[in-house]
Amino acid sequence: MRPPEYTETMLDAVPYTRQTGVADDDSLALSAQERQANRQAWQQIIDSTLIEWGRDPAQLEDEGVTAPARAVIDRANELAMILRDRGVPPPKRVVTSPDGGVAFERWDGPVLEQIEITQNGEILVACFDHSRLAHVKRLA
Amino acid sequence: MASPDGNEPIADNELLYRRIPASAGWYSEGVLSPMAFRPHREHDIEGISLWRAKYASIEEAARGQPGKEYYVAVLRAGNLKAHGIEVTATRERGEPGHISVPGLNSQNRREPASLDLQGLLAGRLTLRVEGPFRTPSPD
Repeated sequence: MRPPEYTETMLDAVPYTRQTGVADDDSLALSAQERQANRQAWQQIIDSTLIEWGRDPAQLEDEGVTAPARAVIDRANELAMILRDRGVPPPKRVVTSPDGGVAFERWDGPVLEQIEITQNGEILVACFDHSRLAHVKRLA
Repeated sequence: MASPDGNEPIADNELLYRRIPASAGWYSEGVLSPMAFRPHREHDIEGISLWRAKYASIEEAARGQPGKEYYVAVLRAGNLKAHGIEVTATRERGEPGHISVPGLNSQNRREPASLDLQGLLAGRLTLRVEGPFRTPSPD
């Protein structure tokens, strides 16, 4: 069964996509720089990691880790491009899950956010605060 | 002296090892991902695996697939027990020193309570991460 398309409602539930307002020209200029930097960071993840993984998913097979299927990597790529185009902050790393999923992770101080594309193509969003689960959301 | 069968109770002050494949990307910039403690849907039916330091050196605990690299997360048994995380001595391939964490298993791996424990183990109960160690390739 093909996973559902990413919808605005789903994407709005992703913590990365929270947008902040801009108050003046200085902050506008900074915001433009940040957005450009964010875009480049996402592009780096797409070009250097996801496309490379998609060429040879078997390289990710390891002890206790099932390599993600190419379809899962493609879906992660698709989500990365959407988030890139929305100008949202990039993850600090992209990782595999033990079950053949792909996850974007970013952290800031005690908060770690995880967006996982599962082996079924679903999205699982988890947020940890001081290493405890603060919230989790399964986006169908 | 260590009991030869490995089934003796796990003391609070024992150090435990968790093997972490470097290829998965779960450790970088000094931050360990909760994924490092996520059970696998087929391999961890009885719970995720740890190793007792009294039976294995850290290099031995890091031994995985030939030619690949592994980190090792170091934990203390008493800290796990203090958070209600049960650890059970179980033999694997007939070798002593293997431990299972029944509360983190294939069935519950994405349940909120399980995710919470994964975050706790990665972020608070891991004392340090060592490695990576390369598993030698056969000659």
